[in-house]
Amino acid sequence: MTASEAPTNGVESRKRQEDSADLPVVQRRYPWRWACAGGVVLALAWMAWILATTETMEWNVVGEYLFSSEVLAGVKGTIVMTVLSMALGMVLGTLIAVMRLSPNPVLTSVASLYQWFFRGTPTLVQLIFWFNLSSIFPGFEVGVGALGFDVDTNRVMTPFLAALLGLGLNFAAYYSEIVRAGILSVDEGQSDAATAYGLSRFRTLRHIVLPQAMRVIIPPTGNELIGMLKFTSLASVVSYSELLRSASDVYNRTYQVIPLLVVAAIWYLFMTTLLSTGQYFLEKRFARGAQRTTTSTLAERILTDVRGRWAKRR
Amino acid sequence: MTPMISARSVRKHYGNTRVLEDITLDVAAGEVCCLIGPSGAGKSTFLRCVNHLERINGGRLLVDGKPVGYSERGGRLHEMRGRELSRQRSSIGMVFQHFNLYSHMTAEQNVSFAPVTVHKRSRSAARERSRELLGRVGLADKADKYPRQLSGGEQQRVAIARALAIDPSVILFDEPTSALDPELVGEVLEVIRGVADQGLTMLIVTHEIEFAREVADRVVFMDGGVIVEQGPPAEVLENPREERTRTFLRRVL
Repeated sequence: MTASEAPTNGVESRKRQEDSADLPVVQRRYPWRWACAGGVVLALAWMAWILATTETMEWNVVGEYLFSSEVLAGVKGTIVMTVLSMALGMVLGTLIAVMRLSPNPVLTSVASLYQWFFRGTPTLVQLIFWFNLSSIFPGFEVGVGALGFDVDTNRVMTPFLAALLGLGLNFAAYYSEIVRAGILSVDEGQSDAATAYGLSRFRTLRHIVLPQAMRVIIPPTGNELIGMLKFTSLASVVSYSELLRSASDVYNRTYQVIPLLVVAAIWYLFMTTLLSTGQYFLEKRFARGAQRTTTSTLAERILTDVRGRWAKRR
Repeated sequence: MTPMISARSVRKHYGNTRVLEDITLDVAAGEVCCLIGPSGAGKSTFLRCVNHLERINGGRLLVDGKPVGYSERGGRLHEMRGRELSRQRSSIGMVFQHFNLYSHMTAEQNVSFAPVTVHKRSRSAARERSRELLGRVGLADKADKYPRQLSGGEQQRVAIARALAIDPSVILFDEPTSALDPELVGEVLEVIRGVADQGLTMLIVTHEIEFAREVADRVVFMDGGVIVEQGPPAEVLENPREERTRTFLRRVL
């Protein structure tokens, strides 16, 4: 480039820049993105086709048992056990979390001991232990003095109670750590302010700390709930009649193992899907005052889009 | 007349670290008293002792003639239980360096929360009062916003409204402008000035020397857990007697 050319070029480019303000904009295209998506969809379709057409899957048997009364009773058993053991675990777990954070060293140690024991032994072992409690305590006495009466442990420790204690007490140990993390995540200034304005320790916890801790507690709780729903299948070993137990009762009779496991899987999937939907809405509810948005999944994007269109039409 | 706040040889230590040594200070009713001094001087700790957020290790600390956090029975001082303590605290407002607004509540709920739950006011009356106070700090239109949606200055103004809502006899300010962007400091000081004009007793820990000069009836200079010098702002800030005060003022002014 010669010296005489340089200034002319500068003027040119400036002129071009001014013009470009009016030019139409062409967005970048992503051909590879489309290619990858297409490839993945094709692979999935192929797998679905294989599953649907393989005769040994016996889809007709699946259809036959999907809503049979036996299986439905199992579904009910699973739901009841999930709800009750979660409830037991959440109440006890919150209590243990608060104990661990208490200024009383005895309470702190007892809470740690509880966590250590129930997290350190397998859930299956605990379930079988509760079920066989009668072998160490064959019976016990209820009541005071003359009003007392003897109880046969085997009568009380039904499969239901064994499953409830095994799953609930175990869950409490895990849940207490979730609650503790939630409580610790709340800025200390919050309880300072509440204390300074005359709130007791309990009310500070209930009105200020726990509601804010919920934002941290809910997502893992949703996970745990979904986990618990599947964990209830362990209760089949103490012959509590839940979904897996019902399915296996049937296939022990008919030898149609795979179709009945598919039936069970479909029900488990259906229930966990319902739960994750519920979790999504709960999270939104407790995100009040916190602005971080959750990243949206494809389903959410479709939902928002549909809602938007619906609102526009009205 | 009994002073509103009266400290006699107050001492406070954390383990082996002595934070307050022999603090003796009287603040009269309606007086505005500014605590200044380098960080680590114990100013904030002293403030937190005044409403028993921190327990003192020695000396006597009285608010409105009554020992803070202790009640006298049978010639002894018994540490207060929850309800007594909360009754005593309910006449002391506090404004924090980091605002500490309840982040899951709107501005209006933040202001009306203590009046409803601690002072047992009716919800509707408290809500009305809350809106009125928010109006007074210039935030009438922000009543339904959550703290995250407000600027630092706005949050601190809500916090001041929250302190006023309990009709306190004393308000403690713990470095109310230290966490603010410089351009937001003015609006908060303006609001505090307005509160000071109403004759409330105020104890203010601050680094804003100019503000202290203007608003304080008395300036107290603390360093290393002791009161080095105190008096009217004109004296302490213009003609400090102590060398430590002079060094400090030279650094911050």
